[in-house]
Amino acid sequence: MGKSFLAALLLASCSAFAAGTANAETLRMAYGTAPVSADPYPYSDTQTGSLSEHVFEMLVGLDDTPLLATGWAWESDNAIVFNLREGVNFSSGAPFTARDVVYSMCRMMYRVDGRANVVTSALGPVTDVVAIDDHTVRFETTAPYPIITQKLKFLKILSAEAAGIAGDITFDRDGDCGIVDSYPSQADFDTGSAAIGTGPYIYESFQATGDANLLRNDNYWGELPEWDRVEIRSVPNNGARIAGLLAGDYDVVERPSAEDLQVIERDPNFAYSTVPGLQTIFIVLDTNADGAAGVTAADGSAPLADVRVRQALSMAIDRQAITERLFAGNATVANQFAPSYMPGAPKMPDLATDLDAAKALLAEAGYADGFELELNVPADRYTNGQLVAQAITQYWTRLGVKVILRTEPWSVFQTRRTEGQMGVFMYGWGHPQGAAQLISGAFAQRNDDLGLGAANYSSYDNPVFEDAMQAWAVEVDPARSNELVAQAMAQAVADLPGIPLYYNHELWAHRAGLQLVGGAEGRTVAMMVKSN
Amino acid sequence: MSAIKRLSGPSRIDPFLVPFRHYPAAIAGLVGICVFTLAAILAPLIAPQNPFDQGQLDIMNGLLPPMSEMMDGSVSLLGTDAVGRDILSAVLYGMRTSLLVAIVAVSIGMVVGVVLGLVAVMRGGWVDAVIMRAVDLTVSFPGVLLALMLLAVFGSGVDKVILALAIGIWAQNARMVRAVGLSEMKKDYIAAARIGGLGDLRIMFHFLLPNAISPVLVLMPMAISGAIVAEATLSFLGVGVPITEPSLGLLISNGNDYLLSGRWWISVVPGLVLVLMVLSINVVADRLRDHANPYLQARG
Amino acid sequence: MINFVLRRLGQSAILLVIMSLLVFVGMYVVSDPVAVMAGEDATAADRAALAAAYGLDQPLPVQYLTFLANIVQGDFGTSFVYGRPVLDLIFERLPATLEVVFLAMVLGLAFGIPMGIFSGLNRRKPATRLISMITTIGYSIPNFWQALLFILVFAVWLRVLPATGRGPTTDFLGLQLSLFNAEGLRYMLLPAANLAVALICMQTRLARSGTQEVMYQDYMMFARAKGIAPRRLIGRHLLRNILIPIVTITALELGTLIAFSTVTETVFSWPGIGKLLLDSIYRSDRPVVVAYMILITLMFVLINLAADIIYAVLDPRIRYS
Repeated sequence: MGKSFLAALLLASCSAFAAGTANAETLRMAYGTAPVSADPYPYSDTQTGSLSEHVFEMLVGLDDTPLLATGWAWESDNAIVFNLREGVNFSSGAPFTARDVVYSMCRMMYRVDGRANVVTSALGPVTDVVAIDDHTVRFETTAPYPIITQKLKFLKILSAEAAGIAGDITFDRDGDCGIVDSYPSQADFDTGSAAIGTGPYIYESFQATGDANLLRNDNYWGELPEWDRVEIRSVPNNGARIAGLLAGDYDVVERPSAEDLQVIERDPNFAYSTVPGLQTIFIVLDTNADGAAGVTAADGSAPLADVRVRQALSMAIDRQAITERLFAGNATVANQFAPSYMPGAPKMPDLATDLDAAKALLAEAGYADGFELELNVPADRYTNGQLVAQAITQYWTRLGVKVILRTEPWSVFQTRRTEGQMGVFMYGWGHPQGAAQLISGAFAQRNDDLGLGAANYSSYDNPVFEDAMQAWAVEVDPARSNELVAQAMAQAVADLPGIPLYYNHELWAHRAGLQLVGGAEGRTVAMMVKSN
Repeated sequence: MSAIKRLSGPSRIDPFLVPFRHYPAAIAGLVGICVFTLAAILAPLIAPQNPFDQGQLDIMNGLLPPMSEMMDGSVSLLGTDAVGRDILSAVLYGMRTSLLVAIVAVSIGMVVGVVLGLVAVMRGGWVDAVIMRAVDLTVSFPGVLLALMLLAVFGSGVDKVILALAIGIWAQNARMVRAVGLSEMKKDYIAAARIGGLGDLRIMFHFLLPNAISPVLVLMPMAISGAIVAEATLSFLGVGVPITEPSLGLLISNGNDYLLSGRWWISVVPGLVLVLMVLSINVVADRLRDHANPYLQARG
Repeated sequence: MINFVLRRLGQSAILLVIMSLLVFVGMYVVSDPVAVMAGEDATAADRAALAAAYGLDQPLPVQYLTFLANIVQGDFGTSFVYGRPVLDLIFERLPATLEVVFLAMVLGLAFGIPMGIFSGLNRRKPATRLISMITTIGYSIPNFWQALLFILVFAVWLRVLPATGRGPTTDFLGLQLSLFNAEGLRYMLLPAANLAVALICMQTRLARSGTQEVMYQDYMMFARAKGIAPRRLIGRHLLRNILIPIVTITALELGTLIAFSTVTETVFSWPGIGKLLLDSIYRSDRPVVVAYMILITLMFVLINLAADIIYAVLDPRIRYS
């Protein structure tokens, strides 16, 4: 790196001097999970997303605001038109046009080695993408597909010109588009040659270990970020990450534990920033009348098929105690399956906590002597997940249910869950894709055409809920859509095919002298950090 | 201190204690082992709380510093962890788990290792080759993967951890027994026994076993302390005992998240207990090993 | 000698095949890569396509034979997680592990052997008891806890060393090493020390018991009686003789350190191959794990062989037939 790095630094500091807004400083950030690649397409994890958002941008911002699109409107039930921002250039110098959107959609739909990309499945209903002119693009879908704007938040825009495409591109649904050979490989992104976006940063280096260095893109169309260089390191061990902050190795670390915030609070040299997040942590209950994996009652019946049992399980849990004791207030008690502070989310009344009433319900359902269940929890996935799991185990044991708590690494958990070996499991859901994302995926009956129920392990099947979800899936009017979500949500909360626990907050710890305004989606990006 | 004088000392001393005379550290270790074992055995009687009974725990009692009053009015001498486990009780029960896992794993590993090692010696040829290559395999097979395999297939549990550890231990014992056995086989008395018409089994158990087992027995305490640490490491890596029945290792690793914020008791108490326990065993193990070494003994 | 080497290599080839089979089956049992790789909204068709693309829809024996056939052609496969050839991944990270193990080895030998010889020669001195105390304690602390305490003391309280990660690297014979610049070295110190503690303890003990045994051998008695200067006695006679067990065990230990310094690398976020192995096991990245274990087993085989040969060179009485 030596010389080129020095040159870049020199250049960056000169331009910083000229602009007069930024200082020639490096921002060092530590991620909690290693980004897998600089390729923004195949991986859907938060950190890979965080990293690539420095370099690539989408039509719609994660917070639903216009980004590379300035506005959009439904032209008909089956077509939505986006107006694109003018005067935007890629870091290669090529101007951003509608062609790049078509190209990126082609790449998104194309499965390298059969592997779907972040939203390949979700954008399946898109039949055509047409560049009407340089700055207008139309998406056509098989049926009304209102949540397309939610899904397009994950379409990072690549440069067609940088990929060597000269003429117009004709979209097709499998992403072939006649330009398969032009798609950059993952290695092309990782070495930086293909990593050309419109974002505020460009890659200096990326390593497979998840470490990356970024340099500011001084030709960025928007507000220039303050830091002309960003170093991102991956430190999965919680304690080591916060220790790195305290030792001065990093300026910003993501996801400090609630416990570590105590240290931060006491030390004037450090501060933290928090924002209520999008992730709902809940427990899925398999309501199948034929019984659920790992759930056994003395009489061989299926306790979880009885709504009273599910309500009893829910009422036995003191959510307030969990958020206060285990999260020191850095989580919000959940009363439904989407944070109530999310735009467009319904607002259900609080769920009751009453151990005696819960016991009575359980007895009423015929399980006065309890029953046995296996509670499955991923060990390494959710903040304080193991503590919460133990708290739930305490509550349910007191209710009279015999709980076997099974924690295992994510890969093992995911495998057994997919194979249907779990009747009761803890899960978290929260991408910035609207308030119905969880219930439509986890509780609706499976319907690949409408994009419903892809992860329904609850065997939940309620006609009122079903009708509302199916209507919602094709409703393009936002107000009506919200009403349908509220209907479905009310039904789900009444029937409890799962038990909502809490909404996670996103946390960052940083050195004093920085101001950090994070988004609810929990991305850790240099653009949100400013010095005081 | 000459060996002659030592050996001709008062005969009332239990021969088992002979190696420890004049070694205060080793005696301290011996006392330590007794105390820890006793505490582990008596844990259900002396622990103020049963930390394995989830119904007795309450997160509202979480993170109390030592000498705090819990919600039921009792005093937690060494504080509590995040889910309200009384650390004193948890450490007592954790010791139980740690010791049980280590002793059972080492015992299984020893028996299997000694038998297979002896079989390898007696049979030789392809049997020997197969056993020894199996040893090579298990020695280089990553313990984490093994533990994870057992966890994925059978769920978490103390028995799976024991199995995972025992699989690592048998191989070392088999190797050692084979080495000793082979050198023994070359000796004249074995040949004499053969000529005398003694069967393989008899030779194996009457002649080879007594000779081959002494290095194994001498190293047993070391193996036990090693197994305690190995179990702790597996728990740290998330493939150890169930989190509702924590061993010392799991307590330490859970407590680490609280070290920075000054809640030292959650990690330091089980940590110190584990280190002291392993230290006691190691000191005694060292002494036994040195004592068994003829070079050192002769000039003790 | 050549015969001996050839026979060992032959046996080792079989060993490698069995190891690969065990790890292959092991990873299969642990988790399903498709379940891990497929997104939450993946349809059944998505999953099927994914499985087909990686050959995971085939029966396990077919998958394994395909894998073996590829290896014979020098293709170790492509990582499920990183989408890159596994050998690239492993060799990219190997220097990080090698350099930290190297530094730990140096620390271990530099402290362990002198301390051991001193203890062996001066059995009754207080310093010897202190050394013995320290080494026993060093043996007794779980490595992961020691690592966390190191971070707590040196990075958080004293703030003299970085807590985690690898420092800047410089190019050395084509390898990216952080060993040769001060800042890089600072990052290496804690992980290397964490590995070194066990090594120091081990080598102190080996050197001590070796010294004790050798000092009372007849030839040493004779040499002492002859009035050979102590310096020469230690340098020439003692060291040469105690080195045999130290070399053997250190060589074995070297292999273990390179292959399985997973805990240290994980706690210190050191981007070496041990961390790669652990991450890959947890992420269901079977190609990486299997290839890794094949290479590691091969390394053990070679190290054992080398140790035996060195052993023969150091001790002329040993001859392999």
